[in-house]
Amino acid sequence: MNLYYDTFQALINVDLDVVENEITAFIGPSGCGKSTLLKSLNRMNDLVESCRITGKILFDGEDIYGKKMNVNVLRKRMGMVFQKPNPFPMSVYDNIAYGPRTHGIKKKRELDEIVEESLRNAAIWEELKDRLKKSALAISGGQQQRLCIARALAVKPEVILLDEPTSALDPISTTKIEDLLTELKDKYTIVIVTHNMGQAARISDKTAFFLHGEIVEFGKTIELFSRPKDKKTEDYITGRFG
Amino acid sequence: MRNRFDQELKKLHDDLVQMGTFIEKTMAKTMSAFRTNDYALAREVYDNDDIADELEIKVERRSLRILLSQQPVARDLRTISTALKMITDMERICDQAKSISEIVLRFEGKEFKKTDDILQMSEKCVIMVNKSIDAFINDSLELAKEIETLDDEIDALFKRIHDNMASMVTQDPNSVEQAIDVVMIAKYLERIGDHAVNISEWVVFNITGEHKHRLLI
Repeated sequence: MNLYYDTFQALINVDLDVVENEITAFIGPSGCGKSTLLKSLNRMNDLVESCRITGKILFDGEDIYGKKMNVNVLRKRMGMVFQKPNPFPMSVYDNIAYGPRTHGIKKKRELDEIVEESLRNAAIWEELKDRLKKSALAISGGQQQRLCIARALAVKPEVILLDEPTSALDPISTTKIEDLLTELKDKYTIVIVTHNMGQAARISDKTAFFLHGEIVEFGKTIELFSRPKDKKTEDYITGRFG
Repeated sequence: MRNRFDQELKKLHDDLVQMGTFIEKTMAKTMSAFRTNDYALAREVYDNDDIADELEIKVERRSLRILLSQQPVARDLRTISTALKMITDMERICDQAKSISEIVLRFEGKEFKKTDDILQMSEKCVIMVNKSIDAFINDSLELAKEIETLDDEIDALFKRIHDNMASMVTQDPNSVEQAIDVVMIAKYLERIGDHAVNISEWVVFNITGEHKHRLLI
């Protein structure tokens, strides 16, 4: 696929397969197109007026930019977590229940179950179970980010898209998120944009290296970080530019 | 962008060149002491073994510091792993040279008859060690691959020396002591050859990622 902002082409002939139950990492210098591609996957770029896409992005064989695609359903199936934790200014409980409620779930018992299960899956239940009525803004940044992951899990997505989810967190919170993602990949397909190459090497199965809107190299993470095929990849991952 | 890292890698390379040069010199001195009964030179090799240990520690320290501070990947990671593996073989070569010098020193004042085979073996060993170090310094796959052939020759010579000494002892029981020492020297040389092969295998790994024809990472 190709993506343009007016006349500027931000993604050029991008072609890659994201495999189910794997963690796929996008790496590359700022402005290389990795976040743009991530946002294209659940049509966040629809909000950018000048954005135009050619080619196809297939999700279970269906073109997500096709006429039949319901964007709300698509975004339910592909949840997103952003760089900065962005809990809603409401209680921990309501943050998680927000999505299910908008999808029509009203029964308290059902919501209680979803809240607990989501928080458990995000490995934060033990820390927050006694603070469900507290404001989500009052918990730590690391907890807020796991809350945001829990919130994404609450609507039972198939894919989780994460845009630099740990760049604003301390090393301990980062480790918790990384452990969490490694556990979640059994149930979900994960795509993560990261500037932290150690993180890509630690948690992802496959890595795509982007430069100037193109994929320079895409393959198994262990191979890309040990024997990159392209000199540009080697130069980037060894810190020779970027 | 990565000036400091490059400087550290350059220093690591310089340390390895220094250690390699020391080993080449040690091998040359040992063999010269053996050939010419130069006991002062044999003593020098014997006494200087600590230097190899110090050089080994220096490389270990620098490598670990780079691992800690730079978290290297790709070729950088292989270079540091290669350094850490290679120095073990380099240090062992010095140990074997020291053991040979010890035997030479034991023969001070006595007649020690050197056969053509053992002299040839010692020359080939010096060449092997030098080639393995050169392969590393020049980052050369070709040089690294030449070492295997030389090792086959060393192994054949060792077997011949062993057999000859066995029959010498049968014919002249008085020659037992010398025969044992010759076989021991030959064995040390054969081990030195193996260490040179190991070094060359790590050079190949550093360049290709393959060790003994298998991908390590």
